[in-house]
Amino acid sequence: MWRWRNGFVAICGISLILSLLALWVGHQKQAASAKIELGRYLFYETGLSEGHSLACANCHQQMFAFSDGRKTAINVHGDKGRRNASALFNLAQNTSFTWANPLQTDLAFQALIPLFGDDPIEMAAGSVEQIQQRLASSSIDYTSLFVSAFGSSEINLARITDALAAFQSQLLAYDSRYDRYQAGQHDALTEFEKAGLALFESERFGCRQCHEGSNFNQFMGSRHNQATKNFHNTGLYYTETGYPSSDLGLYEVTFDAADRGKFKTPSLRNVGVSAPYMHDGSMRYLAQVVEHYARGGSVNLNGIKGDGKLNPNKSHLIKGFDMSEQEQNQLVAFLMTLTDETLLTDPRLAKPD
Amino acid sequence: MEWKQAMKRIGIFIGLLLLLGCSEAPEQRLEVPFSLHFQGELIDANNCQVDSQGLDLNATPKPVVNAVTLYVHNVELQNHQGQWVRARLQGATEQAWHDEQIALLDLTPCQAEPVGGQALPLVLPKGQYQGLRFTLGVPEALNHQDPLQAKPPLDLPAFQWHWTVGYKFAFFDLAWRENSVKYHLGSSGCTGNIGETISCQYKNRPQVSLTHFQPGDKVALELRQFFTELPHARCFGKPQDKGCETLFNLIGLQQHEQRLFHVVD
Ligand code: HEC
Ligand code: HEC
Repeated sequence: MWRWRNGFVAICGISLILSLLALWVGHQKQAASAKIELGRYLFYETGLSEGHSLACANCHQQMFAFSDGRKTAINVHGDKGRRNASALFNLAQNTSFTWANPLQTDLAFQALIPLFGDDPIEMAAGSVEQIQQRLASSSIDYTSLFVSAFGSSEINLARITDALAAFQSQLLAYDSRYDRYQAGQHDALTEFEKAGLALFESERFGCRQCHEGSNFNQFMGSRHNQATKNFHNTGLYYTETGYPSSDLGLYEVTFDAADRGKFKTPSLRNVGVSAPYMHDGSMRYLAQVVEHYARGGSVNLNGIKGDGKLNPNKSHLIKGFDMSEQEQNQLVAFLMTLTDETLLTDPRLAKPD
Repeated sequence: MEWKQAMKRIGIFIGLLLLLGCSEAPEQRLEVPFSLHFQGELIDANNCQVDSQGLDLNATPKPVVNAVTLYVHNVELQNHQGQWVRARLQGATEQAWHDEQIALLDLTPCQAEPVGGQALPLVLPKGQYQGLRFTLGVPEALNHQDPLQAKPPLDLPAFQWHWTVGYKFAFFDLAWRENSVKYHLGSSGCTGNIGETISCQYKNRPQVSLTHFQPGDKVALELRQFFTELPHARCFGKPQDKGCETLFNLIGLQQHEQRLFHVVD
């Protein structure tokens, strides 16, 4: 009798603890999804900018894999910036954020740059108080969105950037025709595209040296995935001063002369929809990008005089190679298979209505 | 009897010790005002009348000052023995423009809501002083910490330098005739990771030393020299910025003597 009773109490106790744990886990999950939802509203919120003129989503549009289709981004004042808006997806696979800044290793923190940056000005968000006022006067009920996500209605930058990062972490792109082919669906790629894949992986073309890993943005030689190994000068320019001073890339952050003209290797996923290409949007077509690599550098690109092939800072991995027209087309055809249609159409990533 | 007497003495002695230990050494306050000048002339609220083109309506054309802010720390005065004595910043004001260590000065005239103070409210051990020195910038130990957790005066996004994970130690946005000057001073050439250590090749924290300072004097900041032959001088901490040469030169970096600040009474 005694024993039975003790056992019963113990079971009751354990099940109580378990159900509390389940409740707590459920609660955490709910808070996490509430944070993502808040982040989604904020990503599409023009109230984060001066004069309600720009949301993150203006420069990061879903149909372009969260880039903007422009050569370089346009800010709250209608002025052109110097860089091409990055496409946003699989962000966890980035060793650093933006085109050339190894200091930016924190996704939440990165959002402060478009919000408050003044070189270039992007959203000109103003003071925290101004953001609070704009959100408070919005037709969207931010009070309850913040309560669900964080337990109270307080609006501060830590919460805003945390929620934006939570939403951006949902931008995943691993479901392209290429992925289906890798998973064993042999007819997911045409023979022509398969030939392009083989060229891409070939030593002769050497693309994988830098565009390695499941996100096509890792340096092959770096075992530890060191951020700095992912920056290269790919021979876009060679001016009298070395590189166009409008954008010197990694050098601007490190002040190390060897870093002039080095930029981060971008992912190649979704390049079919994220034109134009390169840090300054200087290439309109993938065929042009492939030609650039085949030649081992570009001449007079973007109207800037000089032969990038001769740039002394150029990576030794950009050597140039012989390529037939058919091979060029095959490689481009392969790059086009890296598009994840779901990313471009998933309503959960679209502007909330 | 003897014993009781002794106890009493000891008690008094301990009491005195306590009193001495707990009561603070006598202190004094000293307010050090800062002001902006252009060719020696004060720029103040009288300069706020500008016409629609942003041109000054005053007789002598003065610059349009859109912003001048400075972070200041390590404030010291020299006592008559020649020793430099560290001053504390007087308890946080309502506007919280400073903590005990760091002050944010906002010298922009014509502002409805300044974001910093116009004077350093100092507290020093009682004594006679002359000579003032201070360091521009945010101390290294605080410069790269998470700005989202920062307390005033480090909590203002406008003076956080997010791309290089630090602060804008000095911020100048000026226009005069057809010329403009935009300077951001801060540490650059930095490596490291957010949340861990970040260290910078160019720390860019100049020390300003004003040996002729007497209590009661003001610190004047002369802007004329910023306008060189460069029509649009700019230094945003990038190696290719054309204006950095002038800024570093004037503010006392790279082995130069600073020439921006001087004492007026
Ligand atoms: C004016 C257009 C514009 C706006 C608005 C904008 N961005 Fe960007 N975004 C860019 C550009 C341009 C880059 C590349 C910047 C660089 O390399 O310096 C970029 C880069 C990024 C990156 C880095 C991606 C990578 O792969 O390295 C992230 C993340 C990002 N933006 C998120 C945001 C968020 C979040 C917001 C809203 C708070 C936002 N952006 C608003 C233009 C914009
Ligand atoms: C040395 C390393 C390296 C090699 C090898 C390399 N790339 Fe790149 N790739 C980069 C870097 C770095 C960039 C960005 C350069 C810039 O913007 O200045 C880039 C950009 C691109 C882009 C533009 C992406 C965008 O979103 O703008 C494409 C497409 C591309 N590479 C394809 C290829 C192909 C195809 C090959 C093989 C023929 C190849 N790359 C070989 C490093 C490399």
